[in-house]
Amino acid sequence: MIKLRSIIGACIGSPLVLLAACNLNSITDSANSIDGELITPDVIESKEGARWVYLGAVARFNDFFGRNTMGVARFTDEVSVLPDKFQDANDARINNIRPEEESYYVAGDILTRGQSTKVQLQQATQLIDKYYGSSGSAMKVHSQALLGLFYIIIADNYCSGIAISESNYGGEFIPGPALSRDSLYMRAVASADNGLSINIDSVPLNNLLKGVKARALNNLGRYKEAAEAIADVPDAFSLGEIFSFSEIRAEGVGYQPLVPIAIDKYHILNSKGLNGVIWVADSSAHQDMRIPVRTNAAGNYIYPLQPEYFSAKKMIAFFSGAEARLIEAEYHLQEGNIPQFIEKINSVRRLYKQRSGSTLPDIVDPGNHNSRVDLLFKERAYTLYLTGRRIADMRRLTSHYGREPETVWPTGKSEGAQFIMYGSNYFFVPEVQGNGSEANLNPNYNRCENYDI
Amino acid sequence: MRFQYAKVLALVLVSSGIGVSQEPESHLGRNFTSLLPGAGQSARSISLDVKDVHLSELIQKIADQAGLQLSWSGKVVLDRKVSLTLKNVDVQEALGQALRGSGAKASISSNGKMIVIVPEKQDSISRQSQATGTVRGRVIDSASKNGVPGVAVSVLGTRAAAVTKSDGTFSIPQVPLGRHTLIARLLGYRSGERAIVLNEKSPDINVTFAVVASASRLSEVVTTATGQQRRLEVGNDIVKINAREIMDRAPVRSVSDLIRHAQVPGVNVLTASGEPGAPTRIRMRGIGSISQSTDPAIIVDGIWVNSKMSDSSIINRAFGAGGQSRANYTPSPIDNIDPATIETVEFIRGPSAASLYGHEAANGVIVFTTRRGSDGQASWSYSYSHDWDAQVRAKNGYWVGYGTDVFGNFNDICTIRTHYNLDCIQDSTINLNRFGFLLDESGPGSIDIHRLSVRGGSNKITYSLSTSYQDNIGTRRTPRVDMIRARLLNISLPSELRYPGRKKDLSLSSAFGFTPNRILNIDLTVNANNSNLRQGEIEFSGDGLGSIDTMAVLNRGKGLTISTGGSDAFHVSSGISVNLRPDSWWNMGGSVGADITERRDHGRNDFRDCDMGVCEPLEDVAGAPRLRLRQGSGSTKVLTGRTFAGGKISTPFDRFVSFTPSIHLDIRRNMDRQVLLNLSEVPFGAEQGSGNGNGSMTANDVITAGYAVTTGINVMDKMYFDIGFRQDAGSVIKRNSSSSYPRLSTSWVVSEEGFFPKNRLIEVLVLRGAFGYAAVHPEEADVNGGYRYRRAIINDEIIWVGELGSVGNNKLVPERSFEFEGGFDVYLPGDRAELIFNFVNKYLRNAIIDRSLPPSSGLPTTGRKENISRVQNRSIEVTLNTSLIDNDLMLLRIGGSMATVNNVIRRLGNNAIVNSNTSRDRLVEGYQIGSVWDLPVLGYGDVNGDGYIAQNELILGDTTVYKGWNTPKFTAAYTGEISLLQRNLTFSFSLSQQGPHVQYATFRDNYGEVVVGAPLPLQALSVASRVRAQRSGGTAMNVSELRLNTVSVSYNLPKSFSQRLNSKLIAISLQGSNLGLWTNYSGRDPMVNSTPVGNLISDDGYVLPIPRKFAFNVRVEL
Repeated sequence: MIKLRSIIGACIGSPLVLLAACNLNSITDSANSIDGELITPDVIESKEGARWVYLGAVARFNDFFGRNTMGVARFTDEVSVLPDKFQDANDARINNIRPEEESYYVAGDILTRGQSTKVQLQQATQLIDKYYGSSGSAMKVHSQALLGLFYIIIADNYCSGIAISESNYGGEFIPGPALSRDSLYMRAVASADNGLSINIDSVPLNNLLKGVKARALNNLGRYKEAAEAIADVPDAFSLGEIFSFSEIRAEGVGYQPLVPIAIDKYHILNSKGLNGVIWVADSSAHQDMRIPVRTNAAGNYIYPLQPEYFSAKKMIAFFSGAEARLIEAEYHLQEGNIPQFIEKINSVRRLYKQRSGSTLPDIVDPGNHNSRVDLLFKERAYTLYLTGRRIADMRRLTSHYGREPETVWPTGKSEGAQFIMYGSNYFFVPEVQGNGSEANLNPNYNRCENYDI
Repeated sequence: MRFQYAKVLALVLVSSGIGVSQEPESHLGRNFTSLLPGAGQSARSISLDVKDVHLSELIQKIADQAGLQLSWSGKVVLDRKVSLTLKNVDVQEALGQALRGSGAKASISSNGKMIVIVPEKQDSISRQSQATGTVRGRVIDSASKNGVPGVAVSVLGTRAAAVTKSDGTFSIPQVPLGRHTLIARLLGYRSGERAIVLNEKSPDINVTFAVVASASRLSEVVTTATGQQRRLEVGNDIVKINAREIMDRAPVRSVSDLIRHAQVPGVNVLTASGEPGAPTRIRMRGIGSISQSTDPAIIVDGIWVNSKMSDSSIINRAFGAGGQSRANYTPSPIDNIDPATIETVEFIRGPSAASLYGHEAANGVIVFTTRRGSDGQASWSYSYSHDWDAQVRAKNGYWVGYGTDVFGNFNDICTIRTHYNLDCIQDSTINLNRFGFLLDESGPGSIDIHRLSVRGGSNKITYSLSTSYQDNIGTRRTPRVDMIRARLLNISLPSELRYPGRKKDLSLSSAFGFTPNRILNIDLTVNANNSNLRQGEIEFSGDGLGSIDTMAVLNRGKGLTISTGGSDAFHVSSGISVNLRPDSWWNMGGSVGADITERRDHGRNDFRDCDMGVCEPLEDVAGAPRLRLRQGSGSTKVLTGRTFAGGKISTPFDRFVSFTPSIHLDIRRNMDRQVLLNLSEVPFGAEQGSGNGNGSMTANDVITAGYAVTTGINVMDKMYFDIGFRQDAGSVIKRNSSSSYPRLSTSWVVSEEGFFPKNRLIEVLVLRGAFGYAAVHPEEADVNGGYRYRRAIINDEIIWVGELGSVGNNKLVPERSFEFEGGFDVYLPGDRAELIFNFVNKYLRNAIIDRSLPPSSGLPTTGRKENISRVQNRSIEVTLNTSLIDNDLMLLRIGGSMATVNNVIRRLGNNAIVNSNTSRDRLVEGYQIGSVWDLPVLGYGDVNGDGYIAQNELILGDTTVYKGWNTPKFTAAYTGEISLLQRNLTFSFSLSQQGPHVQYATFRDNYGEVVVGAPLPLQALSVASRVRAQRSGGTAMNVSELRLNTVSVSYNLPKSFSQRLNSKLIAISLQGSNLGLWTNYSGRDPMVNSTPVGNLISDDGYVLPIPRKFAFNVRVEL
């Protein structure tokens, strides 16, 4: 499994770059920094400052990505929160997600963090251009990839009419117009193309850029282009971020990049609501390790805790070869090439194992289109479990495949949380922020109702 | 009383023109004469019958009967014995008969106030009077032995007079030879008299005599950044307290205690908890700024002491689960100073603060002066104090509960905290079986204090050394719990346990004074303290298994101790000052000081047999019963004060250094109209705070550099003008700009004027007025915005990165406040009473407020700072002290003070961040900063009849309504003291009153929750508080209180006894504090609030009330 270290490793492929851009320790050693201490503009306007901004953007992205992943998971049925583990009133409120206004708390938080990431990535790119020139290509490409992912994640989660404003550390703020989801996907494609146009000797980074482009195109319904984009991404590719929970605690870093803030706070429930995925049943029946549940020593299911991220160190992939194959499978499904569709699905299943140690068995064509769609999205759900894909997939089921929302989105009583009811609005299509501050403070902002969801 | 009249008459004579100089001009009581016994008495009948008395005695008797003063030439000899009988003769006749044959004659002065005896041969007198001498000397303060400047010294019956220089010296030339009476007077001091004789052999004499300060505050010399000034000369009211006096009547265990018990009007001390080391929040004259600090500046021996370490951003950043900071409290920085080392405390509240100390002082200044050595033999003092602390209004404990889980299985556990927060209580939906243990918080606390000090020195070197050790065990009790094959999952410790349980302090204070010659003086002070604060622990034993906030899992069969944290702090402030006084009219000096605080916080860290993180998979105890807990055998035990050798989380998180150099030049010239010119460049200060840990600590360099000039004009010793101007040559913002703080103050001793009503009810009336500017500067980040250093994990490595954190506003200007203070001082004769009144109007312009930015900016939604609001603060302060009886046998004093303060937001500006109308912390024009709003309870009912009010059985209003202000609008204090047995036995008491102000009450029972069966209104309020809680879980109540603050009795053992033990003094005392509370508050303590910083308050659910203290003290002086 390739970690983010690979990215850094890629950017340090050149000895010149190694010294100039990617020696993280040198930054730590030379900074003599104090957490929270202000970096004055004159410090930023330097080669080292540019690198700090770049690294800060990466950290911000990790934070944004992790929170989005967890937030999206809680908006769908991927995880549930034990009701007695509510830490405070806000925690309780954000888990009672269905009244739309309540969900804005999380939604707004994620968006704001994403916007912060975007602003810093843009500034990092400018500063790298200014102070590194061509020697900063790896950092610049990395920034483009993350920027593309930002656009995708935002477009996946929010209704059309997303305001993307521009601001900088000098305090200038230009309120941006509300953009449609499609236009954000197009921005993601543009970012990926920007990155791919820069010639760097980094296979992982290039694969990530291809994945960004493919994901955006897939969401745009341009399946063929999406499949072509990631055709040469190998099955074994996986790139993401790891974190060390204990180090976060011990060192008190400012960011908590990824999910498990409290390990046993989240667990898997079997098909929360009426239309959820039967996570636990499938996991138990098929020994599918993609969504393992806790078992006792005899291998019997005893506890619904999700242990996927129970470990103190666990990576969540930004993009993987498995996802590339699923994109290809979807392309073949759209093209009516069923054997290839099934083959791609099975090629993904062969990457994963059962609890017994053998790989997941191949499946056969279910025989009709609807079942094939079900199969595709169930495989996506299991393969991409807890990587922040569920909402986008459910939205594609309704927008690209014509499914009725109530057949896609969980409804009724949440199985795990007796006191949490899914609302009557099946779509999770939050606006920017529940209190309307975007509408109040950004004259260029349009509400969702003027756009398609 | 008669003694006082005589003194007043003597003063009258000085100013009356009868044989004395018109200079110095004095008007004090000039027209009292019409009311005095001596006025117009020359025609009074004299009757007496004496035998063989000295003629001088006879004349004195006549003068006494006539009520006249007596003055005679030094050449008149009245030592022969006479016998005389008179009956109903007038004064002139009586004098004539008495002086017959003596060679002297008597006359009554033209104003009828004095009998003047002169030789019968005037020619010879005139010739003799041509012979003169010189009287030189020094007037010193009887208490401090320091020279007193500005004292009018005159020779009674002559025109000879002078005013003392700054060192108290004077010289009066051309004083006629003879016997004279020398009189020294200065407003604020009781006038001093001294008989002198100048003859041909000794025409020049040197006299030193002491004057006794009046009990009134007029005599006080206050220490300001520009040196020492008489309080009289400053137009704003500077309150100065003597620390020893406070400590003699109250159990003062910290500097915060000292300030609280000083009960200075307009100074509020809000306590975060009644536990050891709990921080305090000090506000002077209310809240001024919406978004900026409202803390006063703290100065100790001229050194700026960091007063920011209890800010919310840096309360305590030891880490809990998930890297989250824990808001366990740490002491306020000033509580790192042993209060016993404090000599005086001055509260500079008014307009002069900023012009003296700069923008950091816009919220007032508290100036501490530590004890100094004195010329003389070493004087040792040892004292021991033991306190018995008892909790009042305590809750008996909290429960850990368990019951069925969400699957209906009997395996879910309500954590301590969630249960406490009622999350385990569901309205008739789930049947929770309860099992629990008590967290008994009502155990006795104690404080033991040992103090040892020595003072002494010579005329060249003085020293004062003191050390103290204090061990304070709080009243919080934590349990020991046996876990019997239990799985105890995810204990979230209640916040109570994160508060201090025990605090130990070791302090050392030293002050050295060097005076190598008469023009040079060097002072060196060092105050150091090491404090160790430990919070509560819970010790689990048995063979159970548990996890604490998912951080650790206990192996079966092994113990688990949960340390809830603590901190170690080292604080030292040290300074050296040099004063050079080449001549009496000018001096210069400089000082440099540093204040260093380093604190190391500890989180919950002591997981025995476990490293951080998961120690053992949970499934290994699958067979264990879900939960069985029992309270530990025996009584609960506090396990605090331990050293955690295995501590994994120990964060050296704060080092704060302030560096304060200053240089000043004082010029004081006495002219016909005294003009005092004081030029200073003070203070130049630099502070650097640094944080190194988690959270949002901002490390700001706070640099002030500037100069201040003050010019004092003393007109006829009855009117004073003080003009000050400070220019700060830079600040945290706009480094190339400057800020100016002008000040104008005046005081007028109206009672010195001729038109002042001539009665004896009011001896002195002083009118005061002061006006000045102040400013609060925004932080650099608010101006420049930009990036901050952050640690982040990238590629599994912890590295430093830059984080775009804030939006600057380079047009930001400091908040400017314009403050007017006017008032008067009234003193009754004989120091029988003083009345001080102040009216304050402070208007804040360009008040800085947060202006919102939309979320799409990607920048903090708190927005950026803008100068768009206006705030007004108005206060009235009154102090009344009386000495009803004051003689050698008995002293009886009663007094009181009160203050009102009101704060109004006059303007907010558009798009300022104003919380929504469902928020409790709304900013609304016309209301106060920190005003409290609450959703009204419109109705409730137990619809399903389960005895419990649930959320859906409650009707709340949609918008919050104004409930009140979080700061008391009215405060008052009442004190009384009676001393008997030649003042060796003293009783005293004090009461404090406050209100109305809002406090958040948590309506919970002894188990920390509202239970079935509790009164429905109580339940409704509690549930409502949960529903509407956006920051605090309590219910806002507008409360008032009256508290029996202190009662003490002290006794100085008889000298015969103490001398037998080779000691100068042995004093014992019993003190009590917080002995009674009368309030309409239904919560725990209206004075204690869990939020120690900022302008907001929180509920009192997690805090202890102030404990009741009984203290025994013994002090031995050798």
